[in-house]
Amino acid sequence: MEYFRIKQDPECLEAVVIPDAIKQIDRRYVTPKEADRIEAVTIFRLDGKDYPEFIDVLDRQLFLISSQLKAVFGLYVPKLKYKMVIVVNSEKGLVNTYHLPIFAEVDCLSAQSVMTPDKRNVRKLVLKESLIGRKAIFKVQHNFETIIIARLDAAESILRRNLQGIKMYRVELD
Amino acid sequence: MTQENLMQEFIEKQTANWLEEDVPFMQQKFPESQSEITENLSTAISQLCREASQQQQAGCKGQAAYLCLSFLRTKILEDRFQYRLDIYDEKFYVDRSECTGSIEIDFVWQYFKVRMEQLEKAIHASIYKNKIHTRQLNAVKLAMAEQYHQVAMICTKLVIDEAVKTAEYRALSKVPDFKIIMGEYKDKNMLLYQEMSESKEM
Repeated sequence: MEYFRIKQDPECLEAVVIPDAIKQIDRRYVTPKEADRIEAVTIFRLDGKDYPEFIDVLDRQLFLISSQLKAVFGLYVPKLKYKMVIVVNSEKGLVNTYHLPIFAEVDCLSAQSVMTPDKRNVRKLVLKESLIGRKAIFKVQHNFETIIIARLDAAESILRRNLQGIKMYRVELD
Repeated sequence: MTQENLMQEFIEKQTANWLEEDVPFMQQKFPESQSEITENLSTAISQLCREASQQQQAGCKGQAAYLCLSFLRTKILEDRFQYRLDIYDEKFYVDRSECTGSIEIDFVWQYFKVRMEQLEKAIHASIYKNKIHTRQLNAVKLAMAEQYHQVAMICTKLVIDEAVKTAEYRALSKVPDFKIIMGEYKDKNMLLYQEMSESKEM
């Protein structure tokens, strides 16, 4: 089977920027066990861009998805839980809703993956196919980086819907 | 009008008549290329049937019920113009034993490749040279590829009756109304070919 990593398209220069997102939501709590510590709805104030683009994936500090993308995730992972995030810029009258998916992590990172020297980031991602199982969309267990992976059918489904600001990277398998 | 709109207009102008211009060429070339297209398809199908038969003998796959040819946007974005082939048993998409291959329908996609190259050259020569992003180009690529995919489906439908006349295909254990379909991966598909069940033939 083929797998793809879902990321925010780095070319979207006008994308929404949420300053200090991790000050309000601690990344360590984004797990099914600790998710109760996150408020059901969190409000973020936006950075001062005049016309930010509300793209469908934001992964700069937290992995957030739009309501349209959430609907696609729902087709493949119906039991996935989310926390709601509202981004607001009251001066300019901008409001939008995003969702923070709470994935259970899958320990499938291969030893062949290449890390940065400080071991915080993955430079080359390789996954162990035998450990993935039948999951269509999942999160890879990693202490510092949020790695969200879609199986071929889910990836095709996302691309078919003409969503904005999503980049798919093919993942090597071991 | 903003620059974004102007750029959009420029791209629309460039891509407007791709199919209208290419299809007559394809129609003209089709009779002479037909045997080549058929052979290409039948080699891919035979290879896949052989693998499916092996899986059946090993007991991990039931009687074959579907052969799917799928158009993959993930591959188009990587500039690999290939279709994915899968054989499923009666469990269809929940058939876990993967039996897959790939095929290039160059007869159609060669035109698309040339068009994309021309578009990139046109952009390079225009005032939008430094303004256009890969992201916008990818959106155009996907939209246009969808149109060429429709033509590829029609071409495949025209040759499929001949392409399945191989020993490997006959040897594969199939359900009576075995179907060959083409379209999106695990989504909307078009029926290309269906085996007649014995009762119908009678």
